This record gives sequence, C-alpha cells and structure tokens, in this order.
Amino acid sequence: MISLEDLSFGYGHQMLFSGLNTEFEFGRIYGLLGKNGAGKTTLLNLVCGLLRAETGICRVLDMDARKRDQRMLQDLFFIPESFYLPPISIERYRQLHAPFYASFDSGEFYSHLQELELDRKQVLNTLSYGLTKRFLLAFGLATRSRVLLLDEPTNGLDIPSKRIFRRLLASSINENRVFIIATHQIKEMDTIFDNLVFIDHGRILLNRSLSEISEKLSFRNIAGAESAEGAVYHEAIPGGYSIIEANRSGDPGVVDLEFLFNAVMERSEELIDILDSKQEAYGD
Amino acid sequence: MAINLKARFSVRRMVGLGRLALADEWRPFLWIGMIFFVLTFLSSLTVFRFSPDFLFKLMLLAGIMFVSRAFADIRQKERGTYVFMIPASVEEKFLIRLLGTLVGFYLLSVLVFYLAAGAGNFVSYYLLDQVGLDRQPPTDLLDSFAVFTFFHALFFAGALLFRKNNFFKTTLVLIAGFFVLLFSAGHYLKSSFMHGRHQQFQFYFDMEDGWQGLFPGSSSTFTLIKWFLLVIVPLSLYGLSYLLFKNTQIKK
Repeated sequence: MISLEDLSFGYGHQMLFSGLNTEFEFGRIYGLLGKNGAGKTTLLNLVCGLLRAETGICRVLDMDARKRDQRMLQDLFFIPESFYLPPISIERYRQLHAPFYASFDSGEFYSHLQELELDRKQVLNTLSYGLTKRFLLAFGLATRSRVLLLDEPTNGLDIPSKRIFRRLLASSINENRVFIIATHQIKEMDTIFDNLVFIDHGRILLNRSLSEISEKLSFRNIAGAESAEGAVYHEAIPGGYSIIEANRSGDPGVVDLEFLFNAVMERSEELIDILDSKQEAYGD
Repeated sequence: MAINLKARFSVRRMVGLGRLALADEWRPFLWIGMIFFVLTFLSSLTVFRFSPDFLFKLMLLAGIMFVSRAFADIRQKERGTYVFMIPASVEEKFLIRLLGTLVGFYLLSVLVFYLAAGAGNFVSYYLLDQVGLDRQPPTDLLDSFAVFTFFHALFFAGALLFRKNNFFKTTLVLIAGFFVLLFSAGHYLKSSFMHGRHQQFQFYFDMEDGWQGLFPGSSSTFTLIKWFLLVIVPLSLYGLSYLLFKNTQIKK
C-alpha cells in the first residue's frame, strides 16, 4: 500500500501540497487526474523518493520513500513522461537492468516486446518517443514490481499501441499490485481505471472507486431547461443540458469521466456529500 | 537503530552498477586512456625528451577534471530519474562513483603508463637501438595515489556542491584555501617572532625525511600536516559528499 500522511511540499516559497493525506491500495488501477500544474507529476516523484517532502511522510510498501531503499525501488517501477535511456540495445538493457529486479520475468518481457512490435536488437536512443514508451511499459511490467507509476503514458502512442497498452495493464493487475496512472487523456483510459483520484492545486479533491461513483451518481442529458436546477452539476449542450445528479435507482450507470472531471473541479464538496451518503437515503 | 547491511551493500548489485557505469562511461575512459598511451609511448622513446613520469601526473590531472563531471548526470532531470530509480541503495550508488573515479581511474592510469612506457622502452631498445636514458616508470605510486586522493576528494565534493562550472569553482576554493592557510601561517609565525617564541621552533631538517618540525615541542609537525591533508581532509570531504548525494533531489 502507498500512504501519504500529512505530506507537505513546495517549490521555493510556493507550497504545492500542504497536509496531504490519501492512500492507494493494492489490486487497483488508479487514475490520477488533474489539470496542468495540479501536482500530478510532483506527487509521483514524491512517491518514488525523487523529491523529498518537507514535512509528513510518504510510505511505499511500509518504507519511507525519501530513503530510496533498494527494497522499495526493486518493487517500484516508474515510467516518467520524459526519460533518459542509455545508447544500448534492448537486449543489453535487459541484461544490465533485469538482475536488479528479483522477480524479473524475461519470458514475459519478450512476449510484451513481440506484442508491442519491438525488436530486442533495436538501440534504445534511436527509438522514437512512442516506441521508447512501449519498451518501458514492456520492461516495467516484466519487472513484476508491485507498484507501477506511469506519468502521461499514452502521450506519443499511436491508436493501436494505446489499445495494447490498456489491455496489457488490465491483464497485469492483480491483488498484489497497484498501478497509478497520471494523465489528462481521460477518454483514452476510462475503461481501465478502478479508482479515480482528482487533484487540483495540490489538494486531493476526490479519491473514490469508479464502481462507487457509478452507483451513487447518475449522468444523463436532458432536453430544454427541465430539472437542470436540481442537478449537482450541469453543463449546457446543444438542445439541453448534461447533468450529474444522485443515482436514486442504485443501478450502476455509465460514468462520463470528462464531465465528472469538470464537476469535481467545480463542485467537489457537493459530490462528496452524495458519495458519502447511504444509498437508502435516495430510495423511492 | 540497527543498520541492515545486506540491504545497503551487496556485491552482486555493486557489480551490476559497475557494469551500468561502464556501459555509460566507457568512451571517456577509453579516450583518455588512448591519448595518454600514445603520449607516454612517444615520450618513452629515447628520441623524445619528455618525461613519462610527467605524463603520468598529467593523466592524473585529467582524472581530476574527469571527477568534476562525476555527478553531471543527476543534475539533469531525466538522467537523475534514471539513476535514482535503479534498485540499488544510495550507499552503493555513491560508492560505485567513488571507486570508479578514484581507484578505477588510478588503476587505468598506472596500467596505461606501464603498458605505454614498456612498449616505448621495447621499441627504443630493440628497434631504435638507443639505450642510456632513464625511462623508468615512477616508483612513488603510493605517494602519487595519496596526493590524487586529496584532490579527488576535493573535486568530488565540489561536483556535488556546485551545480555548474564545478571544476572552476572548486579550483577557486582550493586557491582561496591555500592563501588563507598561507596567511594564517604567516600571521602565526610573525606573532611568534614578535613575542619571542621563535627560539622554541625546531627547524629540523632530516636528509632522509625532509622537514620534521616547525611548532614548539613537536618534532613531526609536517607528518601531522601530511596526515591531516591526506587522510582527515579526504575522509571528511567524502563524508560530506555522501550526505550531499543522499539528499539530492531531481531537478524541480
């Protein structure tokens, strides 16, 4: 498990996080969502120990992330948005780096390479941005690290690669692993998230499972101005409104992530009130 | 608090880090080695009048400049992330850089020197048929290693203390430190002479070991200064470097 306890961090005198508390549990794929500059990448860097919190603690697998303990690093793989890779072949990279990971599975690595259309003889610094991301994903999954952090993973990937990427992630998650994906490409990833974490100006606005959101919130379009006033959040669309309201039926519906994102940015407290309410309150 | 040594040091991981460092840094090592091999080889031929010993020291100086870029990678965000995310302890990552630039470079210098000087002597003797000039390799390897360690420690710490132009900044600090020491010693001597304590000084010179005393009541002041400069100062600087490395964050 990853837990942030009263975490504070800033750039210079500008505080970004102040007393941040949240948890990321195993067996789930988290979507870390927020606007540009909200603090998504910083949060991932704090979890990796690449940045050091000023106060509070970030625990990863019961270890203080700041210490960059090799036991933590062995069980944590981070795919940053921009990265450096040495000028060596994919196979050489495997030979040099795989021994650092106790559970590295070369068979799985080669299988992912094949699926992602990469050749093990290709030299890393000659690959395009998208191909390098594919390589890192293949390597990261093969390490069998319990924590996988991805920062804007779909940037630079073509459409077929995005599909393979989603499939690989969905098939690799299990009860001993946790994946955290920071992205603003919500539409591309909405099918694989189990939990959504919304972040804005260094605050966690919401951290809930997608199933809970779909059970307690209802997303629908209405014609004209009919009942838009009673909705928690509404946006004008041609011919009517898109609204979010309490799901009174209790049957899980489809969650429009982009719409939910806008709603959380503006009305997070009202949404939390509904999510925290017991289902019975909305009966009949 | 108990220190888990197994989690901090592992030979297997150290070897792995060494292989990674070589995969990344073999080119500059090779270039420096090749250039000095050629120069030392040429100087070993009796037709040239350079001293191979001088070139050995010059190569160590190149090593000091090389040390200044020992942490250049972690100053860049992407490369820093790459380094810090390798599953090895902070101590192992620090030690591999220390050993690589200190012991590794020194051994490379000695190897290059002996190979090139040997090859030069061979060519001089058998092919050019010229003998008579002293082209022996240096015998003071331990002394030169001690001096190299002093400068290595200084520039190693400088590489972590200063983000940019750390070679020049460390050189400035070194020169400034030298003048401060010189000024302090001069001031001390002046005040001693003014207060009549100069008679207690032992300006004792030994033919074998050189200057033996300076301050009152001590016959081995220079030995103490030597120990201070060659052991205490490097150890303190390496300790400081470790703390700086441990607390380094990626570029924000």
